[in-house]
Amino acid sequence: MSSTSIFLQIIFNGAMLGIQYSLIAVGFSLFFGVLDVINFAHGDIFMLGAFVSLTLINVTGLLNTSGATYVFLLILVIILSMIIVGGLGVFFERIVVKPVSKGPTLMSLVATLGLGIAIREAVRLFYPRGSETKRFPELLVKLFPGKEAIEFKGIILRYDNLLILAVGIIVVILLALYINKTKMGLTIRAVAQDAEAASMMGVNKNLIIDVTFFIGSALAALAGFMNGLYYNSIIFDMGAMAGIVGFSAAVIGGLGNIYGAIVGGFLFAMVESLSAALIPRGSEFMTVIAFAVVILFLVFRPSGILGERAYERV
Amino acid sequence: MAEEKKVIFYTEDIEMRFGGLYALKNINIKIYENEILGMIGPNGSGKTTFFNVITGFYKPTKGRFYFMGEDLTGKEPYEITRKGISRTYQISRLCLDLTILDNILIGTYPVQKSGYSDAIFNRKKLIKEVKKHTERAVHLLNIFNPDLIEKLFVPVRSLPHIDRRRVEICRAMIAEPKLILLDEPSAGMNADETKELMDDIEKVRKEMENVTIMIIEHDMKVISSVSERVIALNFGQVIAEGTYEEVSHNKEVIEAYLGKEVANG
Amino acid sequence: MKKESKFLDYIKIILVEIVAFFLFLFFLKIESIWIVIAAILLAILIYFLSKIYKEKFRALIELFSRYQNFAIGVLFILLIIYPFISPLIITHSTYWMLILIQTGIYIMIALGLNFQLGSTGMMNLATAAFYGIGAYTAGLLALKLGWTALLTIPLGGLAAAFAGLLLVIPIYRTKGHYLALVTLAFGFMLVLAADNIEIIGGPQGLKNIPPVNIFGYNFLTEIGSLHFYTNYYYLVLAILGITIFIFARLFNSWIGLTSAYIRDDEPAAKGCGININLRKLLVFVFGNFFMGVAGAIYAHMIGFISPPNFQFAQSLLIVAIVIIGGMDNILGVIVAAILLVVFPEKLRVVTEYRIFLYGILLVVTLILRPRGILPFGPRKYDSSILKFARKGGS
Repeated sequence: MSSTSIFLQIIFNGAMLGIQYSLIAVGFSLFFGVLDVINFAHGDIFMLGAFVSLTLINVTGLLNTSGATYVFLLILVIILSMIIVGGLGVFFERIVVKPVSKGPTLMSLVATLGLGIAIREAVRLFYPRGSETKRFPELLVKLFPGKEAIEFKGIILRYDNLLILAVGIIVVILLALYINKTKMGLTIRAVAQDAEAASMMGVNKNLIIDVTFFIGSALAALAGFMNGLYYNSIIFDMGAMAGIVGFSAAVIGGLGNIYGAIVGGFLFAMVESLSAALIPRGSEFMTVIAFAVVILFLVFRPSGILGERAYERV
Repeated sequence: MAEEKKVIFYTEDIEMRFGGLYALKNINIKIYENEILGMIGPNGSGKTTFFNVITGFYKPTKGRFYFMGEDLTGKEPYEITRKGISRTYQISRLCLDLTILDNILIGTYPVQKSGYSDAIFNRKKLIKEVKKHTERAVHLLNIFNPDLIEKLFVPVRSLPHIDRRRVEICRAMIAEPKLILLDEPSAGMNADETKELMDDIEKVRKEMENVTIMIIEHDMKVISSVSERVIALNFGQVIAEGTYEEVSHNKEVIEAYLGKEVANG
Repeated sequence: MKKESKFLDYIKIILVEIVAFFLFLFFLKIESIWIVIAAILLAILIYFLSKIYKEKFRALIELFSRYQNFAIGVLFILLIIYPFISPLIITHSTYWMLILIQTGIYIMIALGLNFQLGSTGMMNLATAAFYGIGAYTAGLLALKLGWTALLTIPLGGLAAAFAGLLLVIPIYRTKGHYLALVTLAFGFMLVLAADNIEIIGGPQGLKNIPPVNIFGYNFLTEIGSLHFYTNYYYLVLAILGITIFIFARLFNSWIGLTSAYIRDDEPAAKGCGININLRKLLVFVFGNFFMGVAGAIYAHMIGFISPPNFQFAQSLLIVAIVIIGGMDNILGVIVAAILLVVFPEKLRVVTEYRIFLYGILLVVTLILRPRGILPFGPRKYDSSILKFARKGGS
C-alpha cells in the first residue's frame, strides 16, 4: 500500500466512526442547549437504538424477505427504531432529566448517570440472554448482490460502509436544514441561546424540550443501528464508552453548538484512527491518545472549537 | 474646597473594545480623596464596563489606571481588591445559599491572617479573628437595619431585595477599603426603597469618614442628593464633569438622556 | 434544674444512638430479602413520619447539634466496641466488617472529593484514579523496597496529591463540565496506562503486597477470637476520625467560606480578594491526598490490586456519594456512603438485580431530594460565635 492509500484508509475508517460519534454528540449538544443539562444516559439511548432495531429485524422477519420488500422493510425498521427510541428519550426526559435539571447542574449529571445504569442493566436483565454479545446481521450486503466492495486508489471500500456513511451525512445535512430553515428548528436555537428571553416571546418551552429530546434520541438510535452494522455485534454496555466519547466530542466542538458537535465527533474519530494506524500498539492506546488530545484542546481552546469565547458577565 | 485635594485614583486614556465595538474610549478621570463621586449616563453608556475595567475583571485594550500612585493596570481582581478597592454589583452578587454572616465575613478575607494550618491547628487564633470580624459585621448591620442581626445565620435567599443590597454594602465596607465602588445600588428598587438606600449611603459616609466613594447611577435625581461631583458618560466617553448642577444642565447630558429634540426645544 | 435537664439531654442522645446502633446491627443480620424490603419500607415510613412530626424531629436534630461533641463521642465509643459486639449478633460478622472497612475507605475518598466538589464546586471524575495512585505507590514501595506502612501510607497520599499537579493548567483554564471532562479523560488514561505498563504488573496488577506492620505489630495478628480485619477496622476508624476532624475544621474557617464563594459565584469571589486559581489548585491537591491515603490502606489490607479496581465506575460511585449526601456536608457524605456501599451489599441477595436497583435508587433519591439527603447547613465557625450572635451581638 502506498502512503496515500494508507492515509485514505485512515480517513475512511475515521469517517465511519466519526459519523456515529457525531450523531451521538449532537444529542449532548442539543440537550445542553435547551435544558443546560449533560445527559449521561445518552450513551445508553444509543445502545437502545441498536437493541430496538435488532428486535425489529427479528420481529419483522426482515432476513427472510428479498427484493423490494426487503428494502421497504429495512427502511421501516430504521425509521421505526428511531421513532421508538426517540419516544423513549422523551419519556426519560419527562420522568428524570427535566425534573432534575432544575436542581444544581451536578445533580442532574449524577441522576442521568443513574438513569444510564438503570437502562443498561434493564437490557442486560430483561432482554433475552441480554448479558451476551449479540450478533447483528449484515443487512446491507444483501443490497449489493455479487459485488461487495470497490477499489479506490488502492484501498478497499465496502459498499455497505459507503452506504452507512452516505446515510449519516444526509441525516446530518437534513438536521442542519431543519435547525436553520424550519420554524421549530429556529425556535430550538432560540431556546438554546436564551431560554428566558425565548419563553417571554411566547415559546412553549416544554414542547421544544420534548422535540429536542426526540430528535437527539432518534439520532442516537440511528448511530446505534449503524454501529451494529459496522461491527456486526452489539452488547448491553456498548453505550458507556459511546456516551463518554459523544460527550467529549460535544465538548471539543463547544457545548450547545450542533455543528461543533459534528466537527468534534469527526475529530475524535480521526485522532483514534490515526493513532491506531501510526503508533505501535496504537489500537490499545488510541482512546488514551484521543483523550489526551481532548485535554490539550480544553486547555488551549477551553470553550471548544465553535464555542464562543464569552466575556464573563460581571 | 479651597485646599488642594489629593488624587487617590486616576486613569490615563482608558479604552475598552469588544471586537469592533468601543465600550470605553479615552477615559481620563480623577477621583479625589474623601469625596463622593457620581457617574451617570444612560443604559449602555459604559458605566459598568468602567468599573469592570478598574477592578480588573476586564483588561483594558489601551490606557492605564493608578491607585494611590501605583499602576494597577493588568492586575487580577483579587490583587486590586487587596490594594483597598472594593465594590458592589449591579445585579447583586451574593451567595444566596450562604448565611448573612458568611456573606459579610467574606469581605474580610483580604485582611484576615489565618491560613490552612491555623484553620486546623490554631483554632484560638482563627476564632478570635472570626469573632472580631463578626462584631464588626454586627456593628455595620446595626447601622443599616438592626433586624438583620438576629438573622446572622439565615441564608441571604430569604431576604428582601433592599436588605440584600445592604448586606452587599456591608461586605464592601467591612475590610475598611479606601475606595468603594457602588454599581447602581438602586437598580430594581422602587422610589421608597431608593430613598432609603440613599440614606444608607450617607450612613456609610458617616461611619467611614476617610473612605472615598464612587457611585454609578442611571437615574440622575438619585445622585443629586449624595454626590459632591458628577461625571457623565455617553457612548463610552466622558461628556461632562462638574457639580450636579453643572452636569444636569449640560446640553449634551440632557440630549443623551432625553434625545435631541427635547434638548433643542 | 438546669443541670438536670442537661443530664436528661445526654441520656436522650445516648439512648437514640444505642437504638440506632442496634437497628443497624440487626439490619446487617437479616438475610431474607423480604425482611430487607421490609426494612427499606420502614426507612421510608420513618422518612414520612419525620415530615409529619416535623417539630419533634427538629427538636431532636437541635439536641444533637447542641451537644455535637458529646454525640460524636458516644458514637465513637459505639464504633470502638462494635467489633466485640457484632459477632454475637451477626452471622457473617467478618464479611460485614470488611464491608464496613470499605465503607470507611469510601468515606475518606468521598470527603476528599467533597472538599473539591461539594465545597469548591470542582468536578473530579478521576477519584478512583487518584485512589489508585495511592494504592500503587504504597504497593510498589512495600513490595520493591520493603518500606513500612508508616511511610507508604502518607507517601501514597502525597503521590496522589502531586499527580493532581499534572492537571494544574487545565484547572487554571477550565471549569464546570469542561473540568469534569478533563478529569474523566485523565482517569481513563491512567487506568489504560496501568494496564499497559509491565513494571507495575500490567493487567495482572500487584500481588502479595505485605500487610501493615507498625513497630513490629503485624496486622495479620488476630485479636483474641476476632479476625485480623479488626486491626484494619481500627486503623481506618482512626484515620477517618482525623480526616473528618480536619475537614470539619476547614469547613468552619475562611477556607470553607472562600471555597463556597468560589463554588457559588466565581466573579464575586474574585472581587472579594480571593486568588481563585491558587485556591482551586490547593483544594484539588489537598482532596487528592486523602484519596491516596485511602488507596494505600486498601492496598495493604487486600494485598492485591489491579487496574479494574480503579475504573470510572468507582469514581462514579464516589461522585454519587457526595452528591446524594448533599454537597458540602460531611455528615451527609457519611450517611450517603453507608447508603450506597452497605445497602447494595444487602441487595446482593438479589445479585442479578443489584446494579439495576442501584441505578433506580440513585435516580429516585435525586428526584425526591434534588439537593441531596442533607443539604449543607449554616457555617457556625464555633459555638462562641453562635452564642454571640444569638444574644443579638452583645
